[in-house]
Amino acid sequence: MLELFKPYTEELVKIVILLALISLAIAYLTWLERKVIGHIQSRLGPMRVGWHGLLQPIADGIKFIIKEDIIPAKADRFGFILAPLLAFIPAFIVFALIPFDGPQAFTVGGKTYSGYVADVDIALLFVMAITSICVLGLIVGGWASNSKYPLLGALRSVAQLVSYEIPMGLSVMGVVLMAGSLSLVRIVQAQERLGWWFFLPQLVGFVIYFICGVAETNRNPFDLPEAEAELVGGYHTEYSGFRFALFFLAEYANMITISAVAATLFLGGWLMPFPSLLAPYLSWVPGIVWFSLKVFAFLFLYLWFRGTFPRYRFDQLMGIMWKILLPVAIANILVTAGVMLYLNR
Amino acid sequence: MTPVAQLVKKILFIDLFQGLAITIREMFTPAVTEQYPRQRSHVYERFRGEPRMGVDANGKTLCIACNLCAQVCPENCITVKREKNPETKKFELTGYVFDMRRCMFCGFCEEICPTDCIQLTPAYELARYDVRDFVLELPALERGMDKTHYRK
Amino acid sequence: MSNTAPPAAATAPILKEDVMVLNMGPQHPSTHGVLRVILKLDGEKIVDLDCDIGYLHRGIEKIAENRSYTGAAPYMDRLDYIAAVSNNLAYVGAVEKLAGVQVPPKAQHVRVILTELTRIASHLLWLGTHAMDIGALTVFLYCFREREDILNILEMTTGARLTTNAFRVGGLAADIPDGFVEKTRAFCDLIGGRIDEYEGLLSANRIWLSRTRGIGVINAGDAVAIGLSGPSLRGSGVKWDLRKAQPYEAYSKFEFDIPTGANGDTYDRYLVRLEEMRQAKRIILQALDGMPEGDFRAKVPRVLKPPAGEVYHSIEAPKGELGFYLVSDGSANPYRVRIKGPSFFNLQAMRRLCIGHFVADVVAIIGTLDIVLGEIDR
Ligand code: SF4
Ligand code: SF4
Repeated sequence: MLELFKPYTEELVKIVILLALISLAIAYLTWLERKVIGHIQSRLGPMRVGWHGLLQPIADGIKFIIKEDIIPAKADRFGFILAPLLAFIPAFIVFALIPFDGPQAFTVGGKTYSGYVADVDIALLFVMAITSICVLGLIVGGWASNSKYPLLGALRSVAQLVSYEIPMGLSVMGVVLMAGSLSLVRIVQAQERLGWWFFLPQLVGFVIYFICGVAETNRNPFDLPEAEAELVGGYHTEYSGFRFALFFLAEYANMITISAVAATLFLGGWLMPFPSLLAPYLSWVPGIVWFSLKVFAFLFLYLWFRGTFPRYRFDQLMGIMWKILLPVAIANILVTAGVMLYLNR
Repeated sequence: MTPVAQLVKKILFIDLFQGLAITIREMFTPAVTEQYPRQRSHVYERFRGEPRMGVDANGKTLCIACNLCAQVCPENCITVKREKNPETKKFELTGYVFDMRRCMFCGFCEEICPTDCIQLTPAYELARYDVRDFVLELPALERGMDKTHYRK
Repeated sequence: MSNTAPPAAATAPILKEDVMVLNMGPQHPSTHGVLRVILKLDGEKIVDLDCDIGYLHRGIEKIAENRSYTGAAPYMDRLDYIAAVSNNLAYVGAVEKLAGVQVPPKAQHVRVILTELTRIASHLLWLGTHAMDIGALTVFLYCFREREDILNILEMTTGARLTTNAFRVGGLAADIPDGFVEKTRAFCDLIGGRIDEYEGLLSANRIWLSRTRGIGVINAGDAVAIGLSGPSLRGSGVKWDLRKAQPYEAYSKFEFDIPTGANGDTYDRYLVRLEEMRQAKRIILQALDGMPEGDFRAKVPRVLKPPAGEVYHSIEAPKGELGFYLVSDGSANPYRVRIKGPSFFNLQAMRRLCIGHFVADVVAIIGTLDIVLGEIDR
């Protein structure tokens, strides 16, 4: 049996490390969110558990686990139990394809290892596909709860899903056209060759991607499926304990995914900014640090949005996606394709 | 503003950046949070909190058993127990019950008291575990309630 | 409460589908207390709606019949507990009118200052919750930060933060404390910039605009017919403010404008309230400048027995016209106390405003009507 896994030792070790790191990152993202929003709102955020509340995520985790797990009597048990998993597991799967660092990231015992678990030719497609599964979790959860508010939340999820997926898929096509590959690693390498990160030539695609990403992760100003002012808790109204925690974690994992993909596609992944300027001094900084900084910048933007904006109505969201972003995304592809054709003439 | 300028502003997300600028500015201004058990809030002198009965320098009550406070109280929280002293023809206090369960801290009692005996003091940590602890008798009113102090 | 004919949107043909009945409240994050709204939904569109009230009924009118004229005043703080001082002023004013008590000028000035501060506090709370219902969390905390300053001034002057029991028949409970004038001035200096800040976060924001413009539109005629008052009425362009129309206390001495809206939608009502805060600040500054010397309380007998008769006295509370109708039979207790509260009347517009909108708009409309259940249910 063990023989079977032998060729994959490297991948397995990386997966374990990755799972641990991502879980930690999610836990501290919740802490960061509370801190950032707190300070934006003239508050302090968590202060009591540990120094400046640093142990708060752990306390929260324990609380979620020991809380009573309630399944409503009239809920559809199968769907109700399945839904959080459906949201949670895909959110973690995508990380296998994210290049945290380049192909020669680090050397252990004379052997160099890459900074990602797998480099697949269709990585981008795969990431987009898997992240959409998460939304199914919300829909199933809302439906299976057999309660009205979650149902409305699920309905909104569907409405949201059908509207952001298309502009999102189209917005990254410009990058694919420029890089000539769907592999995330090769997209970053293309940016290295070009000397420019893609967010400059693909500014429109970048903005559209991020707007759709916010919609996909159900974050403010598009947090309609869980708009607590209207729908109490939205799709997760009936969930409690660790099942709720899974939804909660999935949302944060998705935020990290979207940020990581955005950093890879548009901000040059593990590349150093201004290499001609900084390379002499900072070439010792590993690529994963640059990557993390970029992801962090996006995450901060997420939190900053949440601290600033009101919430759209779901028909308005659909209007924006279909009437504005979709045409703009298509136009962006056409223009990019035209320019590429012209340049490669 | 011309429609074109408006459109350009809209495309450049000017309105949204305006909001973002405000929140980021607030992020670097000091927070106003009061970390309660560690920092206690400043309470003004007139605050109507825990009821107390005053005593004079000898530890004798200031109350002259005039019963005005009991009469004025809209919630009938106060019971003044008194007896007429046959010699001085004056009332003497034999007991005083202040039922804080019903009190709405309107302050009428302290306002009417001729000797400033009953007073609502600025002490505000009045939570108790047992509802019976809210019925205060004279000694408790003179000494002050047993404090539940929250520590960090 | 189906008092108005359903507007056109309700009778327009809808797809023949099942209608879902959704209970919003009495325990719901944005019904501002314990309002229960029974929504009939077609998808997320509202086909019909009914408001169920009374979950917070405490029988304040009846309680007042069993209290002395002065003793009933603290209960009135518990009507619109967000603007306790205004309630108190209206009740005390009614008793004074009934008993023919003259309030000294100094007390009148202080009353104006405190009620205008309360108006700002009430509007701040309204703005915060309204914005939070629409998703802007941060405005809520900014508003509470400023409201805290007002509550501190109230605490310093009256001795309590929420149910202040601020006034007595004939004047004030006590003279203004040291530092009151400075603190109030400091607050007035601060609030202008802070209102600009809220405006910066909301007024031009496209999300805010799309959530409030054209939502819950009511024209002037309907607004008057339903009996709206206060900012909800002025948002529709009716220039009616009791402070100008029937000046009470010292309001005739001060200069201020009555902001009105043009379209009668949620956005206009929002602008009207923001401007009212600025005007309130103007009034406070004038009242501080012209603060007269003298008594703070007129001589009033300890047991007040107004002559038999009846009186109606109303003021412009932050939410609209708050009136007290008192009947005296010559005894020490009122024979009847009838409260005309603005929230109750403003709530009547709910059905008219909501039909045809979405669930998300219901919370915006509840917010824009600025209701307080304590005063609706009494
Ligand atoms: S504060 Fe008011 S309610 Fe409380 S005992 Fe005094 S008079 Fe009665
Ligand atoms: S009013 Fe004062 S003096 Fe009179 S009975 Fe009450 S506490 Fe005693």
